[in-house]
Amino acid sequence: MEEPSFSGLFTPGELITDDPMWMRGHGTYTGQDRKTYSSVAGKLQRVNKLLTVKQLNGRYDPLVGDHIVGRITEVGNRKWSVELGATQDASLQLGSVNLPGGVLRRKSDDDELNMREFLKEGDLLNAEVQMVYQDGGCALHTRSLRYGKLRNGMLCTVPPNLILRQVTQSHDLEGGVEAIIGANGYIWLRQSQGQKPEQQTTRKANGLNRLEQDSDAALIFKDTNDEISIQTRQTISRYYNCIQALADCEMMIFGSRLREIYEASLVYADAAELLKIEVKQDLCRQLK
Amino acid sequence: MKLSNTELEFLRTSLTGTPVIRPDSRHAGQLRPIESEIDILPMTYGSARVRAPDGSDCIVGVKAKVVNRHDDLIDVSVDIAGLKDNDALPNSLALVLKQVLDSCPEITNNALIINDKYGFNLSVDCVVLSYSSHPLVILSAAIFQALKSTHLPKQLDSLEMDENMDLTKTKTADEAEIPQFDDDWSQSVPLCPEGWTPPLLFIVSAINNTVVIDPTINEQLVAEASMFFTWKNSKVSAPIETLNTGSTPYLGAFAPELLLEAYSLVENCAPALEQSLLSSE
Repeated sequence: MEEPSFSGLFTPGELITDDPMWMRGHGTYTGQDRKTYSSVAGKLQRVNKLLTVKQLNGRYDPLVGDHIVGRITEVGNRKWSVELGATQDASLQLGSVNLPGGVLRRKSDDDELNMREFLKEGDLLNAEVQMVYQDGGCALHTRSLRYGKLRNGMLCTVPPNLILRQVTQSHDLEGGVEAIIGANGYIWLRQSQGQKPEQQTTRKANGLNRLEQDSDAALIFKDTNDEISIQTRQTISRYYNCIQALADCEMMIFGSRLREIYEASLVYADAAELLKIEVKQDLCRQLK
Repeated sequence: MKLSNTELEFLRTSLTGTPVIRPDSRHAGQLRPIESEIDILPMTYGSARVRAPDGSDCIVGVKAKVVNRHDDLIDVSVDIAGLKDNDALPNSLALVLKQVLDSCPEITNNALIINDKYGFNLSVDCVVLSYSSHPLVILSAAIFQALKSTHLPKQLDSLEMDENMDLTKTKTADEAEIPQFDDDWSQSVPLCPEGWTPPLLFIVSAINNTVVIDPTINEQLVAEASMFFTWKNSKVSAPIETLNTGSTPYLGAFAPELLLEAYSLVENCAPALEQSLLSSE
């Protein structure tokens, strides 16, 4: 009877332990012989007598409270289906969305008929994971003014295991660009929202009044872009390449690292240089 | 995949402005870098794997067998991982690639012909493991590399054959024509004639008044039309066809002046790609 090793890596089908006292969790299986095998490639973890193998790479595994970026795939009966790179589409209930008209507004039958006016197939949104189901599916909510439809930018996708979970997933970056880093590996790069100083100061002074709430809620479902300058568009493209470089070199992605690699990338005046593998490796070597 | 209205609008304004801003900062006439390896499959006569940094990956293997000579000596099959069996894309890609290879007399009328009665049937089998832009470009680069590395067994000429043969035996007319090959693989002959390179394909998209080469899938979604160009014998040649990109929101056609611009884009970047593929061997 050997103690399983908690330091190394397990490959699919590898024997973890032949001791029947352990309980088998996610990422493990057993056969006729009552021994425990790994079903994925990853590291072994234990909680008391429960063994689980956490896979190194794979689809996004939703956790309650995660800030994610997803895309609507289906408008259904009082709910939307949202694709977020997990094994199953997440569901977003009509009741978990702030509709224009204030927080206290009641949902009517009309809202049910007009669901496509709020969110339709293909729309991108950021949301929070509210509940995770047994089968790997999850429910989302957008009950905060931080969440809603995404505009003024473009999407960049990386493997979800490269995302470092941080307190804040939205980062104001150099060059008037803001990055919303979804825990599922979807990163939204957009023009920075911070160009409305007078509105922000009034909000600080008075708190949220009813009118502002209404206009912000309408903004959540706005379907057009603001005016975006050429420089900002170029910067967004450069950030896109920087993120791809990090992903190619298997580096973790988080706000301060994005700032760092962007600074380093400015050596190359032509952002198209960042597509070369030597340049990517050189940039990632410079990072702390 | 469907994009949101704001994404489409952002992409299209970026691509139609001056300067043209592509999502990955490339210039309008710039290809994505690709890397390739050859002779990766030991059971084939020639093989190649081509990868792009965005994760596109494609493997091609070439095999040959002796058949009764007929006009149709090249078979191309394409398999794309993750697509259903009844998807039309792999078949339409195979058809295009076969059409391109069939119009190369350098191999169909030359290396594949053994004698009046027999010829080599060439099977070009392609697997696309993943792709993030139209797979035609990466497929053509992989086929280019695979054909370039393909060798066929050396045919023993009849004189040499006679020495090894039992002369007392009488031969029928059919037997006399059965080709004999050298079993020493180091003596094998390359499929492609010296100095000739297989054709390459390039995709060009028209977006309002701009033309971009090697578009990503998202760029194709906001384009009016996409076409592919064949680069053969150091010039743009047939087939040049429109690609079916499905029903995209800005569907339209190629304006004649854009066609000329697309032509020059291909002419500008094709020799460099050809060179880089040849030098990676």
